[in-house]
Amino acid sequence: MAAAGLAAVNFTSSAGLLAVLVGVLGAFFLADQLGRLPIRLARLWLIALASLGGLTLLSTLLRANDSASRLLSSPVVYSITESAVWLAIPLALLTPLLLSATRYSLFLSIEAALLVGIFASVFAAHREGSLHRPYFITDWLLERNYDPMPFFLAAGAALGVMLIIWLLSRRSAKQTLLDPLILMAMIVALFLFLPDGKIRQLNAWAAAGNGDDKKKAEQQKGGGGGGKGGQKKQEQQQDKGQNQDPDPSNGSGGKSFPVAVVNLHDDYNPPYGMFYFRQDALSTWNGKRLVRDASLKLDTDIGVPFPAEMIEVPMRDRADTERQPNGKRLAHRMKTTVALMTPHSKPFALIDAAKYEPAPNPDPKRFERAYKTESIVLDTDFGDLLQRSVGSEKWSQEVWQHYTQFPDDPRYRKIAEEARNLLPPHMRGMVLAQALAIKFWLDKNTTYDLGVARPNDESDPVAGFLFGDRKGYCVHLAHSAAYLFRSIGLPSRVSVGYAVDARQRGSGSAVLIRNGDAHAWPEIYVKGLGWVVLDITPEKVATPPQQDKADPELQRMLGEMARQTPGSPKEENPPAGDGDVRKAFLETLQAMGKMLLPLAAMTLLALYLMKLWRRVEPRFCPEERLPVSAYRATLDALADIGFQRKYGASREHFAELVASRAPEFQELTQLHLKNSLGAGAAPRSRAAWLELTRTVSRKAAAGVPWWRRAAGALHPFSWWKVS
Amino acid sequence: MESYSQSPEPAQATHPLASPYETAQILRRRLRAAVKGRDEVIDLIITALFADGHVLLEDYPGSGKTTLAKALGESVTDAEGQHIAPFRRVQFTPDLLPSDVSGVSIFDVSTSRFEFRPGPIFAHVLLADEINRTSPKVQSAMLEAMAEKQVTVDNHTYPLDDFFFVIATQNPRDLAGTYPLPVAQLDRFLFKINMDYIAREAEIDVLATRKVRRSAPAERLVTRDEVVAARQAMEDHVTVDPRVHTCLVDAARNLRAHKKVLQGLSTRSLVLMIPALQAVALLNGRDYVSSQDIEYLAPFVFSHRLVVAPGAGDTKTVVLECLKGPLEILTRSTMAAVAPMPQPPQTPPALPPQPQQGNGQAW
Repeated sequence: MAAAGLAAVNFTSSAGLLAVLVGVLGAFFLADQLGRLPIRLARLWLIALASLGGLTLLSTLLRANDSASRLLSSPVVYSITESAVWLAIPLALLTPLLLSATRYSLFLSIEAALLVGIFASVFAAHREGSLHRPYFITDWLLERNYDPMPFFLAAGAALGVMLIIWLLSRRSAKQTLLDPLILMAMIVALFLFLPDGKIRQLNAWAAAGNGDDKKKAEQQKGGGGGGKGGQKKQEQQQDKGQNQDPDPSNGSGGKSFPVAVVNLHDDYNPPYGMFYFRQDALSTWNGKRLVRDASLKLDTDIGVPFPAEMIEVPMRDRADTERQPNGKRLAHRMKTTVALMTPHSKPFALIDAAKYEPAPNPDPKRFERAYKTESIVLDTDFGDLLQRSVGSEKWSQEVWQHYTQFPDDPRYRKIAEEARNLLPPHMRGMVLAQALAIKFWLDKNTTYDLGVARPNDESDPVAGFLFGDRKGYCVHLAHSAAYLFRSIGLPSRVSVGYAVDARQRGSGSAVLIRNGDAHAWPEIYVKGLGWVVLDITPEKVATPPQQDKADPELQRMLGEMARQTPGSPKEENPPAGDGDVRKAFLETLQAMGKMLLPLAAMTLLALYLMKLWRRVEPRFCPEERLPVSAYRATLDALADIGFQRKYGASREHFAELVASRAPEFQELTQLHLKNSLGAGAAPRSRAAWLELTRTVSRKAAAGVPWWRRAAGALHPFSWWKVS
Repeated sequence: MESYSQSPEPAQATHPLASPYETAQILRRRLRAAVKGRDEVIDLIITALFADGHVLLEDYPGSGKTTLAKALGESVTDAEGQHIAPFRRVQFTPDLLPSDVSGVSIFDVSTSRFEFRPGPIFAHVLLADEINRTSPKVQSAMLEAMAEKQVTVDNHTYPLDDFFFVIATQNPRDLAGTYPLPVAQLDRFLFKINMDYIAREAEIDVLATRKVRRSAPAERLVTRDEVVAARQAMEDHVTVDPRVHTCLVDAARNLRAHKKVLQGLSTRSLVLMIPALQAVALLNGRDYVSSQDIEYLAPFVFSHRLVVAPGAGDTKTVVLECLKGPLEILTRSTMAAVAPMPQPPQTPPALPPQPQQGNGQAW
């Protein structure tokens, strides 16, 4: 049960792990102690459940209430309440259950059912090939290039068999009937409920993102709305490259699904709180809106195809060596591995990408492709850069013009000036401070709203927004910001890709990117640093982000899978050493067989000799041993034809059973017992003992078919259990 | 049980257990003639009588316990010179006083002295009916008499006869207004026997033979001295192997450690168990105690001395469960043992040869 408790922890929570352990041990102790008191079970159950409910309520209130977290720090409050609840759960549930089990056999079944259920649920999570806890096992296996799934399935099956044997071997007849029933009900329940949505979804995505046949199969299934939705999204993703315009409303409208997972090779928290993955950039003013640079001469950092070999991105200004005046790093190199789950037209990377390298696909069933990137990531906030100027000395006039073209509309300039006037006078001269002011102005005066219906073919995504109701989403915000920056002469562009909240990563190394994370953001070219994000985050939000929080479990799981090296032993490609292992195994078996055979023969011979000796012993044994030896010889003879005393049954009881065939056996039993337990039997001649033994054996064997007698005689260890 | 009483034994006219065995058989036959369908209860009562213990019957009214007790009392005759009533019955009520049971000292005007008038307790067989209906005061007086075989009235102690045997009853259902005996007092009873309704055939037989049973059976009476002597002979000559002691102690320890048991067995109950085992062996025509005897008696001797947790179910099941291991060891050990050294014949030559009687069962 302690193991069960631990398994339950693995599968429910991580915070109160220690608490659960203590709780389980406490429950055992308490159950043992309470077992000695005449306490009513119903009352115990009531107290336990009531206190559990009360405690849960209390901790929920504590967490909801600010005063406690203000008094202590909120993580402390969290861990206290968490461990209290997780301590109480095993205590409150296990104690009465254990105690009940000692009194009613029904609870014994429930206890067993609980045990089986917990183990089964843990292993069931592995059933569909999805990795799950316990991590320490899967990690260990993965490190050694083994697929954990067969291991878990085998362990689960072995466990199931063991439990069934255990349940069936229990003595009471009622119990044996009840236990398999409960077991069966449980298995049915497992199949109905346990492959929860998470695993199903995962498989659906894997199927959807993997070849046309599977897509069709998914469609034919028809039932899974997720499958269809996934496919639709995927098409959108494919179009994204041509469309230039990732439409975030698509992402949050439907069900969110993962499109990629990025494993960071180092710990990194971006100073602006978001991971920006740039796939594309829009910088050319075509008279209507910003589009991708068609000449392919500018924006070279994004014109990279999927790498077949190492590709060095032409970096212009940013270096990882420069330091800030206070000695802190300005930027550093950072490696990542990206595993795509849906097709993309172009690779994307954490900004700013410096290198793309090919990487093997860890699992072709699940991932579209994978590649490695190296980025030079910023360690400074935009606020630290205000002193800097923009642009680059290397830029020609055309380049400058390219990055500062914007609609010929004085209203932009007006807004920019209005924003600049909000700055304190001494900062008004800094260009980047002006940019910041524009950002703040936009933050304040726009409303984030996904619901706005702006036709996609509208020539200018900005005018209707900025001079209208100022309600819009990232595309509008990014374009507005870029136009406003350009209106005061700052080189800027709109980058397209994904943005993921840095908090989502948690303490892991994997960052899960979902379709809802598609984003567009404005960038400014800072001298010496290159393109730097200055994202707009409106204070007013009309439609809260509909995307639910990313499941850290899923993120971790996918990260784990992406880290896996390909060619791990799957069904289609067994490990290289497998044949050798099998051969070695067979050879060992053969060698052992050569040794085992004589050993087995010798054992058999010894058994037969022992059997024979026990049978003839009464003829040779000393006089005082006759009662034991003759009785034993008779018992052996009876065992040969299938009469054996059951555990716990008395000699007299057995004698009564045999008496129906050989009444003399009762006399023999009496004599034997009298000799052993009494004050000594009257001496009898050896002949009399032998006669009695023979009579019993003959009479008992009378009605037994010949083949049964022969089998008994050949049985080498029928005497083994005779006592 | 029955089959073992017929088990063949080498005829030995002068065996010291021949006479006790005969006494037991006479009692058995007399009681069986008087009460139908209660063979097991009769055996247990004879066992308790020979083991010098007392019996608590738990059953419903009209189940034949008075008839049984009366038949037992009437089967025993007094030795010469003694005038003790063979059978008395006391119906215990809440307003009963100890003196109502033990007797009172009355001032005799003619002699100017207090004279003791013995109460109903001065009898060979006392039926204490519904013992849980009376006050604890009377109960404790009663229990003192049972344990010490003496009665104290006005600071003077009057001994009871050695034979003194109590059959107490209580109704297990109608508990309103009763004073249930605590475990400590239940401990004084050797057996607590739960009587169930008798078998269908036996019940038909009871109706059919109601007239016949009233007439005295043909069997001879048993004297009080025979029974007292039988107790002594049984104690001396029915062998209790040390392994039996081990088995009993192991079983008791198992019971004490059992999770469903709140209060385990006392050592006293194990001590009381020994003569009871000897009596059962004697009744079955054996001069040694076997594992079967333990298995048979343990539920009757142990059950009422245990306190089990609420909801733990049947005490008997718990007892048998704890008994199984030690019994198996005891049974197995008979194989390992080398027979003890042949002992000299136990028969003292002074004892006169016993004439064979009854159905030819003799030692």
